Amino acid sequence: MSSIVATRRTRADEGEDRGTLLRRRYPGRLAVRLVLLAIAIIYALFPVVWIISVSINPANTNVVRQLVPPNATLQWYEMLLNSTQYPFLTWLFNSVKLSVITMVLSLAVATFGAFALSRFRFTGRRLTLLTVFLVQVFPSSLLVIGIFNILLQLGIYVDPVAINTHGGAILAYLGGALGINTWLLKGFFDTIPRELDEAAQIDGATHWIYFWRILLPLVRPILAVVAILIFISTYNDYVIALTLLRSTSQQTLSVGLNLFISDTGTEWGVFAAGALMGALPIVVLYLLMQDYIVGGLTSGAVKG
Amino acid sequence: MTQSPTPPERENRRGLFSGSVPMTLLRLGALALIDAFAIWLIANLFNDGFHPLAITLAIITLAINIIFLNERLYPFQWLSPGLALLVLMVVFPVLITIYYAFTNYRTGNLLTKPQAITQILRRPENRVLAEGSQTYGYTAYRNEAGEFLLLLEGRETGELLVAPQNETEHPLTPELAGLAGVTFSDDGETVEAIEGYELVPADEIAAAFEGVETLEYGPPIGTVLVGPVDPEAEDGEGYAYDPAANLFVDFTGRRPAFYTAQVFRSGEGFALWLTEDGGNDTILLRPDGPAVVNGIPQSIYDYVIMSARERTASSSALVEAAFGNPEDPIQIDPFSANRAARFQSVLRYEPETDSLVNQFTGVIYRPVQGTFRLVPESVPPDLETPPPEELRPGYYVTVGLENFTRLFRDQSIWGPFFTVFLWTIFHAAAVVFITFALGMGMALLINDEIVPMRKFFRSILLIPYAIPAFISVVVWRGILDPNLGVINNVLGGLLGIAPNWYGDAMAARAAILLIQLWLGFPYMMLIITGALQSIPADIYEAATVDGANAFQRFRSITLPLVLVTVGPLLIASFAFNFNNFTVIQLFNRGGPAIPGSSVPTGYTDILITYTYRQAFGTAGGTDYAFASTISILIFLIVAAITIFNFRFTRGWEEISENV
Repeated sequence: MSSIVATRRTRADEGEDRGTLLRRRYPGRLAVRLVLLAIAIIYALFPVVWIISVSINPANTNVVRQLVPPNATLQWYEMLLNSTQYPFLTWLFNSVKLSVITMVLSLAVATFGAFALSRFRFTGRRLTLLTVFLVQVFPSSLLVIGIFNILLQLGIYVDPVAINTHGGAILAYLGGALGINTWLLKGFFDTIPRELDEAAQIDGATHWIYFWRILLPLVRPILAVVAILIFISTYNDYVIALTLLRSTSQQTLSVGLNLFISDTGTEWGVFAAGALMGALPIVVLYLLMQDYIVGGLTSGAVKG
Repeated sequence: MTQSPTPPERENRRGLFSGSVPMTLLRLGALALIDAFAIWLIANLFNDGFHPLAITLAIITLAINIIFLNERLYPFQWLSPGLALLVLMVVFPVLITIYYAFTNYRTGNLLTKPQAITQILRRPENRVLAEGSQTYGYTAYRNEAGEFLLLLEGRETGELLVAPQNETEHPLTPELAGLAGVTFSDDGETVEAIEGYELVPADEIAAAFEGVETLEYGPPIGTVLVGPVDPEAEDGEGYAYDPAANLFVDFTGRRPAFYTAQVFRSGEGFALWLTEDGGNDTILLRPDGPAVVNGIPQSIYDYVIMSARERTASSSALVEAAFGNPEDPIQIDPFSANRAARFQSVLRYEPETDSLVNQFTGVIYRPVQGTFRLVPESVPPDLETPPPEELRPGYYVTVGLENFTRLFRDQSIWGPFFTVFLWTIFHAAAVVFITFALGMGMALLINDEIVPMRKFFRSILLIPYAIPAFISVVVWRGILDPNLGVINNVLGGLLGIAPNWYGDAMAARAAILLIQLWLGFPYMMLIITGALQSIPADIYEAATVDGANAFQRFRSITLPLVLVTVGPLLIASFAFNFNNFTVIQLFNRGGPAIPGSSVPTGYTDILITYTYRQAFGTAGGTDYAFASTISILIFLIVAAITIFNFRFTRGWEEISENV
């Protein structure tokens, strides 16, 4: 898919010149396109504008009468960042902690697997590839009954992976480590010529040194892309966190934020402020990486 | 197909015993450690009746040993962490879910047989004081996870023991007691010194607290406000300390309590020894230990002392809990609630006859479908009070196809379930269709060279996809609020209508689709953009020359070529939305409810939220068995979709290409 990205760049460059020409020649066509685009952008951004408006509304409500509410305030932001009443920072920290640990471990596991599948020829290789491809189609929402009960049983003897621990949640996230990401990485490992293997072998490098010193530095960019994809999908997880993490201090942003909007309390201002702060890093990551994410998407790398 | 340049046998030979001797020893040692841990865990699991998990772990451990000891399996060393996780957290959950569908694993039968027997033997009503047991007074603590801990004081010996629930008890150390380094006066009534702290003389207290606004101590004290306190005021909150008057006030009780402080200082902050004015209470507060009230630490580890009201509220849970060494636990006396001791059971389990026998009356209980039931013939005629018909809790056993017949035969389940089933399929198909349609429109628009700043606009249109769904779905819930939301505000003003997006079945379903469209169209736009750019421009030129208009070009070139490219992704998107838990759960928790359903079901429920609710969602209890039954159906559907996708698309090509 790197070729798709490359094609788009060159076409876009040429396109700008032709675009200017076209715009001058067909103003009517341009006007229609711009109107349609404006409608689309209003549709796409309306909830974003709404949430900003709600987050600065001192009334703590989801009633929006004006875009900038009277007596606009940053009090909900201050409250979330300073007050101990709302464990927003704890949730944010938990989300980032779980996502980073899962990212590192999952990347390691996937990279080891991809190395073996790309660099060795052995009996069972084809079966492994097929299994990895087929097994990962079961989403975590479907496995959660099994996962919950496994951790319930393991947790009796091994405290760090019990229910309501971050260890348990990470173990659950790691179940999919040898999944589509391994396929993605293997594809990139395959592009590195095997002559390099021979050269390394002649120089007496062990497999580990070859893997760590030679191969990994060559695929560093794709490692970063896969790492960020894992980070985002862990950060966005809802069902595992909802099921496994029971106490407020253990919860992540995805479960915690929604406690503000429950049957008992509807603190829309607080929710909106927290949601904006929680979503911002992910949105920025997405926009920075959009070209790569397109590549990852077309090979199905993002599950959620 | 890439041909391996080196013979695989040579390349793959790099096992445990190659390399230097110390390296080999290190690896063998690591393997031995893993094995020791695994054997311990497997033995425990097996002993408590968790046979499937024990067997799975045994298989994984065995496989790891074979892989690391056999040089020919060297490549699998690299794959082993991933494969182990895959088996444990994906394959096993699928298998155990299938197993649960054939059991009665639900509230009332949540334990394994050994667990159930242990618990029945320890039930309060079956307890008699064990011969020669020491009795204890106790203080109860609880942590955030709801687990208990007892601080025990031997009635005869006076020894102090910390006994967490199901964990071996140990003596109370001065650190845990909050008394490390504390020197009391001879009469035990005043603190003379605290190691590492210096005493602040009474006339220097005010100066010492200059600029200090709050003090932080362990729970349940928490924050103490520092500043002037009006002793007459009755409306303060929490705790306050007035250094100028050397007055500490506790506002948490029915009326304020006043204390005089002795102040100690260290690099970490202030320690206060408080004695109640006109009373006998003492409190020791220090930044490096728990708060101690009248000699009792208010927290031990992460457990916090329970108030009298909390103790009453959880009295039955406390009585049922087992503290200290699980093999020989200490429990609270059900008949004398302020003492704890070691008990023995009036019942005895006899493995030969698989029955529980009352050692005093001879009454026998035998298991029927996971519950020990009374054998009426065993009741002696002269027994005064009739024995209970069955012993709780029960354990889970296989019950054959009972769950499946229940699903298909019980009309109050089958009717609503079928509604959910149809909506699940319609929902997933409709979402794919509408997001594809809008995504196609947006992709055509954003790919038209006449549009300026296309890259920028594409980024803007990507935002709905970038925002985490756990946020945007709730935002839409706020926007669509039937009474207060901005949508109904506008609709009311323009058309005079106000759809009930929460409470009306059709409106709620429409709302779900509306949200899904917003969430999903950017993804479609992205993948269609990729597909559009791979269509060669000369096809269009040829079509234009042949006189095809814009619509014909779209119908005959663009649409089929895009569909060929993104087809597998559309099927994947269908499978994803088939199980899109987050959107359904966060918008309306599957509501509004379908009336007359005997298991909680809603009109916007899809199979996965319906299943989840049976397993985790209801206050009345859990029904893993029934949830697992539905899960099997979802497994089959998802597997069918995948196999279809795999067979008729690139799947096979990719596999064969990569080998």
